Amino acid sequence: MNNLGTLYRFEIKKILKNRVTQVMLVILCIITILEAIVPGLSVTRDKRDARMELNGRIIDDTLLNEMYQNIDDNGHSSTPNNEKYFGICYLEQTSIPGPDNVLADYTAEDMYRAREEQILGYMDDIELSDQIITHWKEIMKKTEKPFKYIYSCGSLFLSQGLGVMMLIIMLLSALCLTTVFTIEYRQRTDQIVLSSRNGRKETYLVKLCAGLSVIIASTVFATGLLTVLIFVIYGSSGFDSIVQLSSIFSAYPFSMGQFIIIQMVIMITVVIMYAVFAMVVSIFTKNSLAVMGMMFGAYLFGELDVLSDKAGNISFLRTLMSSYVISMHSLSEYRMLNIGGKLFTIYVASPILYLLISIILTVIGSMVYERGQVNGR
Amino acid sequence: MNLSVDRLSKQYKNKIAVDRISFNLTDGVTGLLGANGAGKTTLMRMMSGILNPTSGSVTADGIPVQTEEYRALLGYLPQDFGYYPEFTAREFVQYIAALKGIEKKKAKNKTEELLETVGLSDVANKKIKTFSGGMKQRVGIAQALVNDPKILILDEPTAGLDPKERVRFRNLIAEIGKTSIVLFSTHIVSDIEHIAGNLLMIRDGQLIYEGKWDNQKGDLEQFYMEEFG
Ligand SMILES: Nc1ncnc2c1ncn2[C@@H]1O[C@H](COP(=O)(O)OP(=O)(O)OP(=O)(O)O)[C@@H](O)[C@H]1O
Ligand SMILES: [Mg+2]
Repeated sequence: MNNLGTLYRFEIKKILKNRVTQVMLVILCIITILEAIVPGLSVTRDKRDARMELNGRIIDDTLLNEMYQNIDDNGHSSTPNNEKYFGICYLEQTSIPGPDNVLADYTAEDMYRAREEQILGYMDDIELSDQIITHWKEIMKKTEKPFKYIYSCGSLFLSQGLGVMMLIIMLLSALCLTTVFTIEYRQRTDQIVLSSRNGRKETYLVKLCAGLSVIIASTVFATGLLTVLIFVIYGSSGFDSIVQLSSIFSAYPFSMGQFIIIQMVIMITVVIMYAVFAMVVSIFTKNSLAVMGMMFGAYLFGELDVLSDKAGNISFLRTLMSSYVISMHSLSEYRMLNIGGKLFTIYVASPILYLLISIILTVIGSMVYERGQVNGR
Repeated sequence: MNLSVDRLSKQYKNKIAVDRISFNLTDGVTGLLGANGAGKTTLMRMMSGILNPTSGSVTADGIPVQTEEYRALLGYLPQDFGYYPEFTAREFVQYIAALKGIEKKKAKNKTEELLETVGLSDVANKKIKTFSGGMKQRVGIAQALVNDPKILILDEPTAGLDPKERVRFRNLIAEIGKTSIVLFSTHIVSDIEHIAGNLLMIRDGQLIYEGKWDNQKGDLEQFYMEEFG
């Protein structure tokens, strides 16, 4: 079956020869570079150096007392001293509720307890089941206290960059992959393709593979580029920092590095879903614009708060929107999918859902494509 | 091989484009004549498996038109066929060869052979978008032949060809007709007169003449003008 390889190469060629694809790939590169550079503009080199001074210190009473003596203005202004204690100040002020607390009033134990009380309080608010709360309590035990301070600037920028990159990849799918099937209709080559021996079953699969290859390769390339740039500009420190220093109320026992790897793996399943959606739905609509509209509609729906914050499998579904899963917000999501007493976090449920959607769409698409006719012209 | 069209009909909303047409074809060249809108393209699309008939069937030695087996036998040149503007003539024919499942080395040789046959060898590496109408049409002819089809369906293949190319095409078709079923539509009676052993004429979706044309019946051109004029 070596002609499948030939077909594949030609399909890739059709995608890459498309002006829109070329422009989008350039835009993807530019945005990736900007993602690495822009966040560094507000957190300057001096600030970063100051914040890294305390790297490796345990956040206990000794460090807190040291901070109380050196901090200016209760930590509110950006003085060199405050920058040095920025992360610890942020941890304490976020852990302990109320805006006007005087930092010096609390011990390390107060701080850690207040943080956990807030987490459990929130779990109660959204009416999580006892089973889920017990589950989280077990998981939270795995995060060692007191926390070890490591400034996580590069890893933070990287994980934020992934969210923006995903939006660009969505745009890339919507603009470039919707033409994988519609090009035949538009150029009127569908008559030749559909009347060829392998023009139906094989062509369908080859086209899907070609589209997926382009989108996955773009994603891998862009994340790779962003990672390299972040390492070059901000260094490799911070990837071993616990996520709680960046996302205070997270219950996950991850380091930033682990979190980023999880995000990248899930991102691959997200872009597979985007790509399959763009290609398959365009077979029905024979129109790229309609598919783009649907994709952005779904994206905006995810951004709207249309469903309640309460627990339960329905509101859990909203947490599976890709723009939410690929973001720091997902770190403090406690809702879980409960299937017959088995619990799944969003990091497990979402990639499974994305792949499931992709498979279902692929099957539906094959049924429609393989029966394709040139009606209506 | 026997290609059998049985009570084939196609109805669009309020228009019967093809009306219960039946015929059998065997190896040889058959010309399909009919005025604009007579239903030639509609009939040929149904015979190529890209348009579902409202009723009736198309089979080749019992193989239904919807199957991969049938498509493996088929070469089809659509009337308004498209191309990929960024592809060269050689790439286009190679791509179609791959679509037809032809083994790589064989596809390569066949492509060169056909580009030579249709007189495009010296521009094989030029993009199709730079071609003239007649050159594009010859690319279309080449792609239809790339799998040595046993059933060759050509929808107005001579459109846009200059007289020299038209003669070359006629000779090519006559040669292929020795071992394959060739059905081609045209408005140009002289295309058919010389090479078509068999004739089909349709008017308003109905078959009005089927069979050999012999000159005892008079001048074909005159008959055509009378029937369709
Ligand atoms: N998609 C369609 N919807 C409605 N009517 C159609 C459609 N396609 C073709 N027709 C009608 O069917 C009839 C036959 O059209 P067809 O294209 O088969 O004619 P033709 O013999 O190939 O003509 P020509 O010589 O101009 O190529 C015409 O009246 C045409 O208007
Ligand atoms: Mg026609």
